[in-house]
Amino acid sequence: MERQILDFETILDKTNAIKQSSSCEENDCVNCYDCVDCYDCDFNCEECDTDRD
Amino acid sequence: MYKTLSAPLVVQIEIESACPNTCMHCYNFWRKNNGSKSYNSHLSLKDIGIIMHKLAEAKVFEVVFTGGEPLLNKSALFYGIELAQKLGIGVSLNSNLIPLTEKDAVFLKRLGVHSILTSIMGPNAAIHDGIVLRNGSFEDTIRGIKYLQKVGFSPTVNIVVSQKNKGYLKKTIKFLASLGINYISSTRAGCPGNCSDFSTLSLSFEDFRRYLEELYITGQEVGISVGVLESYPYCGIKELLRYQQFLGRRCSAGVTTVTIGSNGSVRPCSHLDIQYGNLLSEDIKSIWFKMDECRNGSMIPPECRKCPLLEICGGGCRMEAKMRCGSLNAMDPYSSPKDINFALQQFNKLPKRELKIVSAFSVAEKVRIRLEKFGSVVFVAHRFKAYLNRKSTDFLMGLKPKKTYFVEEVMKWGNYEEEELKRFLSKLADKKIILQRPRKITGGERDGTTNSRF
Repeated sequence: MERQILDFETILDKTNAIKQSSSCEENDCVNCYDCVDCYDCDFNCEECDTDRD
Repeated sequence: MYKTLSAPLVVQIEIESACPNTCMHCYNFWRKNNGSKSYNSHLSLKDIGIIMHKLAEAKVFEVVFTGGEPLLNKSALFYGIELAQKLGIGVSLNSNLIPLTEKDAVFLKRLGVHSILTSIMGPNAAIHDGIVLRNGSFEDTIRGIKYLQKVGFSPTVNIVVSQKNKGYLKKTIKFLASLGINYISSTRAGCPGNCSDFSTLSLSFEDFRRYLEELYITGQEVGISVGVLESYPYCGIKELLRYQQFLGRRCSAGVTTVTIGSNGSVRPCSHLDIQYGNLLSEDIKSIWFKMDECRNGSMIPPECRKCPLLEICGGGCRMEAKMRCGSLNAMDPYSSPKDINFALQQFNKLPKRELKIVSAFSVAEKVRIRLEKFGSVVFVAHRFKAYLNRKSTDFLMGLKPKKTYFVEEVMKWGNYEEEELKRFLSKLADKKIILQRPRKITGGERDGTTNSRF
């Protein structure tokens, strides 16, 4: 079994993805937009008012 | 296509179906024919108790109380908020604020509601009231905003834009800025389920692009943060570099969120009229697993399946596709396939976040972790932050709160490769899951050698 490294996952199921874009992985992008897929986020709660991803 | 989480992350609860307004564009599917009320129902205190305990058991992170108008069912709303806090679930509220009293605002603050979203449709009463079809609504909502501001809330105001008010966006934003609103969101009016004809309200494709530009440029001019709440197709947005603040709203219906109706029924999205079960008689997980079609890609339009932007775009709004283009897997009417290559080029030019090297750190105080098959979901306070694989989850759960750790000590825990660990810590710090600490600390604070779980 392949050794797992410390890393983030995405909400995409890589084994079943219809079309897997390589853009994020190739660029080692952490700005993967998984961080903002919350429908109701209003961006201004006091905990994160300086942390708009 | 998407992972099946063990349960939703965020749940909207329509605690009350009735509403003082009858907005022309209302997305409540039970309001047919331009706002006339087709049925009234509400969740009782007992219902709320059942629902909140089931959500807590499934480790749902956040609930959003909405409606109809949730403040028309105050006893159940306040009970629900109180219960959510006791059960460790974060709470926010969507309301037109019409029934809000000064006392309610104090109470909501005291109960720990962390954010409130309301809507204004125009810069004055004539336009707003003309769209929500109720005289006095504009004044009532503005009064509610002031009550909230007085007790320390900073409400977000959403402007729903349709054919009726598309010419007033700039004036409305300026008006809201003059009220001291810090963040304004906007959505294009979306066709609700059961709507036979939305043509007098829907923005055309050309209108949509003009709307994005006006929203962007007015935000710049006024110096206020503006954003969107809906998922728009990236090819329709096209100018991704210019409109970065409008990105990242991929549809989360049935992927990370659900809506519970005022009769307990569960739907993937507040706009959608398809029900998958009832939480008053079933558990959330069994209903959640029935929503597989929201995750398996079958709702993705065939034209989008080959698009390189699919995984970040998601193909736009499925409800809009269903109601305006005929099926749930039709293309979103605001898609523009001919602009995919342009959008892709823009996407590849989006600035990358610069990761900082972390040598000493502590875990953020309000980290919340939910275990999943693949690892875990991480929230910090009320915000989703990351999905982690199993190894990373073990690492994060091994950190003690309030302790400062040093990279060279952490290296010894799991025989991590130095580059792997440094890269991962930088990512965690970027998400504010861990916080950088100075190298020099007092002796009592230093405890980086024990890999203890908390």
